[in-house]
Amino acid sequence: MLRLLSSGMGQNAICRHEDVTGDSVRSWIILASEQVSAFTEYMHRDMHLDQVQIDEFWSFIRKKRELK
Amino acid sequence: MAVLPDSSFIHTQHHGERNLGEATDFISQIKANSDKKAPLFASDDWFYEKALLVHYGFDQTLPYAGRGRYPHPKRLPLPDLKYVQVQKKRDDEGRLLKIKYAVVYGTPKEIEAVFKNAERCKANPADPLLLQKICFSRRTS
Repeated sequence: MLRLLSSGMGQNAICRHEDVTGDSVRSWIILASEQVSAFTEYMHRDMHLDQVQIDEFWSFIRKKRELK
Repeated sequence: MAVLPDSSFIHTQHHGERNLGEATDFISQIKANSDKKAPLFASDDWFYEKALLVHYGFDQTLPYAGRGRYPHPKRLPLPDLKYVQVQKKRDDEGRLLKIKYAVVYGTPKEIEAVFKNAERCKANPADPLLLQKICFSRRTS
């Protein structure tokens, strides 16, 4: 199921393909995301860094002027 | 955003205003998620110089000259800290005119050595050193 998701298939298409409900697919995605988060957090610890590139991205999140 | 250029891995993300306080918090996050050794930092021409000094610096007490008040301790960068600024000069319409690389901390030779090492790893994908570095693998030694 995760392989199909990562290949770009939508959730509804996976339901039809695998003959499962949408709730099942969503619960598997949540389970997988928890695993990925835990794995990333573990790998992040004591990480050796040679080079770090610092960059900024910025955008307006409020309107710049009052709309008429 | 802190990116590891040899693997394009986004190491740390931080949201907030563009000021020294936020930059200091951001650098503290990078340090917390690393082995506390100072890497080579590269950034645009902003205030990271001071933010880096907060987390990768030490206080040096200056000797008393014998007259007046005692001097305040001076904040100096750690010997292994390297920092390069990419200073971009633009015209009034925002077009890029000139790029200048300024070495803020460290020596040009040290920084060149880090860049050469990274290039060597990119040129040889089967290099065991690259396999250690890429995909954010942990160092076992």
